Amino acid sequence: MLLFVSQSAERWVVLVLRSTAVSACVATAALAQPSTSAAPTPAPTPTPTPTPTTFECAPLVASTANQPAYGPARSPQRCEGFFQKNVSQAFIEIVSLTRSPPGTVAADTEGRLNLKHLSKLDLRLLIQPLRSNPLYRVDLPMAQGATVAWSFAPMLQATGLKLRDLGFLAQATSPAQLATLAPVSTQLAEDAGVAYAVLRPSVAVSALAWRAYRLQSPPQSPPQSSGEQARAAVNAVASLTGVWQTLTGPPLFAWERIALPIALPADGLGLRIDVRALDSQGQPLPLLQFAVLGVQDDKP
Amino acid sequence: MDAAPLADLKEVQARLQMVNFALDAAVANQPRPKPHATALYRHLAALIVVAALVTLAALLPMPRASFALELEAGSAQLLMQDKGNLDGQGLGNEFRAEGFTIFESADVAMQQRARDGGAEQIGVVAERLSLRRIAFPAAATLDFEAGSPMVRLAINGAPNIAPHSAPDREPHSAEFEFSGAVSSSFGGAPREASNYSVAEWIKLVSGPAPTQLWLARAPDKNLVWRGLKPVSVRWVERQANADGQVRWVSAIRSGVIRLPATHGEVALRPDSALEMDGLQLELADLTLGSTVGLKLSGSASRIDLNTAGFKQSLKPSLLEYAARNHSLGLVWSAAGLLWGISAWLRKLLGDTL
Repeated sequence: MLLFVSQSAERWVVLVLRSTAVSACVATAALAQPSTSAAPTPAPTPTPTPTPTTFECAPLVASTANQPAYGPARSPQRCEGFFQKNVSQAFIEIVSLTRSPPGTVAADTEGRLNLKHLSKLDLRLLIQPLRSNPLYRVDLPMAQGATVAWSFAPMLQATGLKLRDLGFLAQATSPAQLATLAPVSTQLAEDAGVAYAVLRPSVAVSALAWRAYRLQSPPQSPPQSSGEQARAAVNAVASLTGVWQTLTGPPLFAWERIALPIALPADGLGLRIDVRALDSQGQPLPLLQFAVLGVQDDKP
Repeated sequence: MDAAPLADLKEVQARLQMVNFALDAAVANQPRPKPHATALYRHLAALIVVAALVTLAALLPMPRASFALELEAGSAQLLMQDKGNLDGQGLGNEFRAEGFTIFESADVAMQQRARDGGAEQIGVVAERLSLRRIAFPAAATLDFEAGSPMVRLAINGAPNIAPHSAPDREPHSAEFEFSGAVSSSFGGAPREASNYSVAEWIKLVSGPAPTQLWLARAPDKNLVWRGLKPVSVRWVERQANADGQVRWVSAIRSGVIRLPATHGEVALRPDSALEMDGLQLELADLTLGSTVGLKLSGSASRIDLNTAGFKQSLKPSLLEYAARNHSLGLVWSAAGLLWGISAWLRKLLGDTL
């Protein structure tokens, strides 16, 4: 018995030794991985330009309570589904930017929406409800010049919404912090000179003001070319005075929407929009800033 | 004739028998190893291996140690792994900035002044002021310094790793918005008053040099940032001796670090220097006010504590971990028990078969 035990003990020890050697190798490899000294691990590469092969979903927490949960889907390649909310601060956001007034969309005979944008960039299209709930969204690649035929039945079935409840945002995937959007063309009731932004505050809002402007040329350029000339060029476009205009109407309740008609400059270049909202106590909400891409813009 | 060969043969036979006996006896007299002695050697070998393993476990630290830290300090230096943002929040009514090279604003007059006077040194006093965002690149160092009423935040982008190349740091930026009566100064020029009835914003972008920001806190309010992802944290501040010599000392005022692996708890004294590297955090909250409050929870590959010149690693050894970890002990004792039972059963069956 004793002999037998010691023999199996030997075998056991050999096994243990072998496994510790393996785990030691694994451990050293794991230790070597997060080297925190002078050589930092490279930053995650920014989301590449959406092409049919590499389209990444938005970094959201997929819903566990509602189906379908947010995730990649095929034909056409997109990301779609319910997600979970992860913000908790008073804010005002833009939920739709289209060339036709909000709510005026029309489907073709096959139950699809034909959407496109006129800028010279590859963008990603975000389709979401104009209301604050349900938390459902669709992300689609939207190449320049291409028309996206989006079949809306899955979204409308899952959410119980109607077509006029949907908002459309064509976003540039630039590393810049600023939201850069192109007005989405729904090919219906379009006035070429106007884009309609739908704004939605998360708290009750007592006053809204907005302005459209262009930034001056960057300060690195020689001063003689920037100053007066740039200002003259900006003033040539009548709507880009940068003067704050109040948005009239009754005070908004939390999550109510308001449409902001933006006159697009005739020169086909982009502009920037600031929206200032005051809450019911008169305290300012963080300034909403976004850039609208013109048809001539070829970089965000 | 016949008898003689027969006798000879018999004699030979007898001799052969004697030789056989002698050989047998010789073989029988040789010492033979006992089965019990072999078993003992094997036992000894097994014991030595086990002892070596236990010693190794006592000497080797855990590759990573999980911890929960809560402390107050005068300043904190965070090395961030990835690029990210410090979220905006309301400020008191003043901020100053130094070291930024690019100035952006929708206000043409202010942009003109920043161009003429330089954006290197900016001071703004505003009726209502808030921080919109601070964006930093990967591997940036953020130095938070407590103060009242102004707190200080120094940002340094990661230097270029390749030697002998031009300093090429990823830029970082700070954005502010303000409204009401504003008095501002650019490049050390005298302050100029202006009024913004609705709102105005400015964005400052850094060049290759590090920058610093002084932010006034709103009365009785701290600046709070949650969900930071630092990979290393230090708590160091400058202190001047009586003779004017500046030295670097630990900025820790008080704190406690808990190590769930060993159920240990270490109180941090004001002079204890703590260094943490290789952090993977689930929770990282920073409160910047008259002190820097940090709440960190996660795991680290290095936790070193230096108290009054005595330096120790707070990472438990593998043995400590095994000894304190009851579930691990349970697994091993259950495995040992099962092995014993199986050995006994095999022995039992082996005898009967």
